[in-house]
Amino acid sequence: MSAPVIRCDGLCRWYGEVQGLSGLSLTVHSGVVGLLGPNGSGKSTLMRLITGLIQPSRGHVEVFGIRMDRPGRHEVFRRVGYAPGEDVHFESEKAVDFLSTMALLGGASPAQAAAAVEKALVQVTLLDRADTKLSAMSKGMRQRIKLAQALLFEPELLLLDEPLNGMDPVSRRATLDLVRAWGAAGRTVLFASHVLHEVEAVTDHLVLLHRARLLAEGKLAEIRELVDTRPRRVRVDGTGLAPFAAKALADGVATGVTADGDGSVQLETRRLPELLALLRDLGAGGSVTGLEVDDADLETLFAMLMEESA
Amino acid sequence: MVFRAGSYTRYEGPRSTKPAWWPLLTATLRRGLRSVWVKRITAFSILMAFGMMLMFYVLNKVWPDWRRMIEQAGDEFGKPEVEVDAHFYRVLLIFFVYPILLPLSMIFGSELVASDLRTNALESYFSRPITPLGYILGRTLAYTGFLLAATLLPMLIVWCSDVLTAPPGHLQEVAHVPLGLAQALILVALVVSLMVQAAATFTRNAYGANIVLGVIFIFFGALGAALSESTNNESFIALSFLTDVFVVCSASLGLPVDDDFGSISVAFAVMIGTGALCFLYLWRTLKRRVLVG
Amino acid sequence: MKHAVGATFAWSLRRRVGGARFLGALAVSLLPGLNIVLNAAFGANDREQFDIYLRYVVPMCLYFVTPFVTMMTMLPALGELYDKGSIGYLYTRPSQRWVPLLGIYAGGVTVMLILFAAAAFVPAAIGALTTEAATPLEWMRVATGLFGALALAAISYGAVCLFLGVWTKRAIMWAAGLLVFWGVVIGSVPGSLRATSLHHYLFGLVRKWCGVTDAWTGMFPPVTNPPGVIVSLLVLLGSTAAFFLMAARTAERRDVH
Repeated sequence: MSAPVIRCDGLCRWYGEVQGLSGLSLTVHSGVVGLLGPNGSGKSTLMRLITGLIQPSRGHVEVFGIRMDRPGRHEVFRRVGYAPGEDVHFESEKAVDFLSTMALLGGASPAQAAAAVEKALVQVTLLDRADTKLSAMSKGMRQRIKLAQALLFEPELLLLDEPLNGMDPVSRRATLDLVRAWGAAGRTVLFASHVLHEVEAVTDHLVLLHRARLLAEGKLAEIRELVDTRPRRVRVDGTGLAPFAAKALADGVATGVTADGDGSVQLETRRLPELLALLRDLGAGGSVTGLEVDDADLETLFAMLMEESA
Repeated sequence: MVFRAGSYTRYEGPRSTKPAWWPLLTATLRRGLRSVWVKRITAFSILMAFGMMLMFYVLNKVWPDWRRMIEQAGDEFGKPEVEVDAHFYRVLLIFFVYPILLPLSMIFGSELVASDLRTNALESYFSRPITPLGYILGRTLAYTGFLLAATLLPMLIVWCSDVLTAPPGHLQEVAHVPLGLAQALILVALVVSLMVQAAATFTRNAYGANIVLGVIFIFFGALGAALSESTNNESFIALSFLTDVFVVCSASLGLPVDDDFGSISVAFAVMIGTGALCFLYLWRTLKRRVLVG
Repeated sequence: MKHAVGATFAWSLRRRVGGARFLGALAVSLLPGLNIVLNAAFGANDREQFDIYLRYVVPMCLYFVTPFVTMMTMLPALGELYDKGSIGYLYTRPSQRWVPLLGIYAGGVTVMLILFAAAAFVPAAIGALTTEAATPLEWMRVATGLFGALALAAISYGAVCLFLGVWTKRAIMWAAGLLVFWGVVIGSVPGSLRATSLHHYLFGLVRKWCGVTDAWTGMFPPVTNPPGVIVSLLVLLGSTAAFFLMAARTAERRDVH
């Protein structure tokens, strides 16, 4: 496995008596990683700790092997682009001037900066609005400008804090496509959001936060396996399913069965592979027209995890 | 899902008889009461008043002739105006206005308006049936109320304790003082509250508002004095807001004012004119809705 | 690095020049000149104009224009960036945090130099046009001397305000205390404390470069034993470096929310 891009070790952060983050240990490798959590869960705190904008109360974070609580951390931004959650408040600036300033702050020459700015504006489809003042732009456009300044010089790691807020559906789709493409190109994107289906659309590698703690981390299916206090709910559509359901109950593979009037059955099980094996052995007495494990979507999973942690 | 507007019925229940700006006034009062510095400064000035009340009481018990002796000492040192009458209250008034009213107005007032602008709260206010005049009225009344609570209330406490502990005949000397105090402090508090709101509206942040007020209170004070000296024309002293406050307070208490401090009518005109200009600026800016969004 | 500093310098300049704030600061800078203008209007005799410049305009520029214009120019720019969290855009670049601060500082000082030039030269120009007792060369010498002192005030107090803007959320209150109280008041009151105030050294420079001996300072007595030019320059430039270094160190440590 390649070296981790981000490594957090026992990260804690307090704001007075309020806990922003508690004992977070996390490793992020290349690809798109979704950082999920409700408002106040610690997503922005984690982003700020990763970028060194705030210092941890305890623990440390490394980005590309560089400690973000030590001098010299600014070098990491040659490889990192960050789009914060805050709005761009350089109201009196034109988009091209704001992006040029950001590019020049990166150490580029004016010619390099101009080329990078143009490329970034093309990527966010705002080249025609380059000379528009930020104060005259809608919130969605300013979000795209935020993204553009993060994309300058094509960083290896993109940190996006709620990047889709205020965007129209077309821009959202374009941004999600960009994120997917970035991940497919071998770069790393840490995508923070509280809107679960947005994250589901770009990745199945997740970090779930709740009340300043790490709830779970990994692929969606792996996380589901962690939730072993609740039985899986499986819906099977078909005909002649009664014997199968009876056998599943008798063998203890299913802990509950509900028959819907239209021939389908809903089963609860803690032994999903065995249930599926039983279904395979259904034989000629019945047929299966549909199978759904209806609690594998992210929203349900997240709700279950939050309930468990409460 | 389609919203069936046909099922909507207008509210016909009881409505409040209070004016639309009344909730704004109470909200501003609540906000002031939550402010640590407002509570501290107000408590400090009221405690000082009670301290003086205690002082009057103790002096009256220990040294009943203290008023007459102070007047005699003043006569001997060539300062016949040193008396425990309106002159005493002028000194007290200046003490409450300069170090208490002005800092309090800057601490509380500039952030009050600046935060409304920063959080775009005006968008919420003007989506209710409140007019720009109502908004200014609600805010200003509450704000002025806080300033008076920290100044007029303690001074009235001092006056009451002075009168209650004084020998007969003293009341006739200071009977006009409460009205004079009220006139002076209400005018100063009202003008200062309008100035602070106008400054915060103009600059749109507390930093800028406090700097503008610093320029007006400090810089213009020096400028007025310098111009009146360099041009030999005392009218220019009216540029000094702090001097105008002194003249207004003196005149309200029925005390004469030296020519060095300029004309009484000019000082009143500057104060009232400044307040009026600030009010008109606020009203016009709110009417044009330039602050919304 | 030069491009990085240049970028924030240009941004800082664009942000400050023009607009209501700049005009307000310009108005404050020109207020002491009212002494010259009103005297010209009221028809004072020729020599008084020159004396009025030395006796009123010069000290008013030092004691009032300097602190207020410095606060108006330096504090809001940095304070708003921190308040809104936008400073994060500048700090998440591959340059140390002092680099954008240097650009912001340079932009602020440049704007202050424009304003102080107006404060020094506009009244002198009006005075030169309205009197004949003093030659244009004398007016130029005095105005240049005043501008030189104000330029050093811009550099040194600008660094103080930069540090305050980075260090605390209540920069305006600290700036009022340091620039107005510690600077102007402590710098004028006789005693050993005066040597700790930057204004003490500014007045020393003004005395040498403008020939001011008995300036009107309102409440405060004139300075009778000001420091020499070399000492004043060392203290002012040294304090500039010290406050800038403190600002840089503080910027590295301060959290951005």
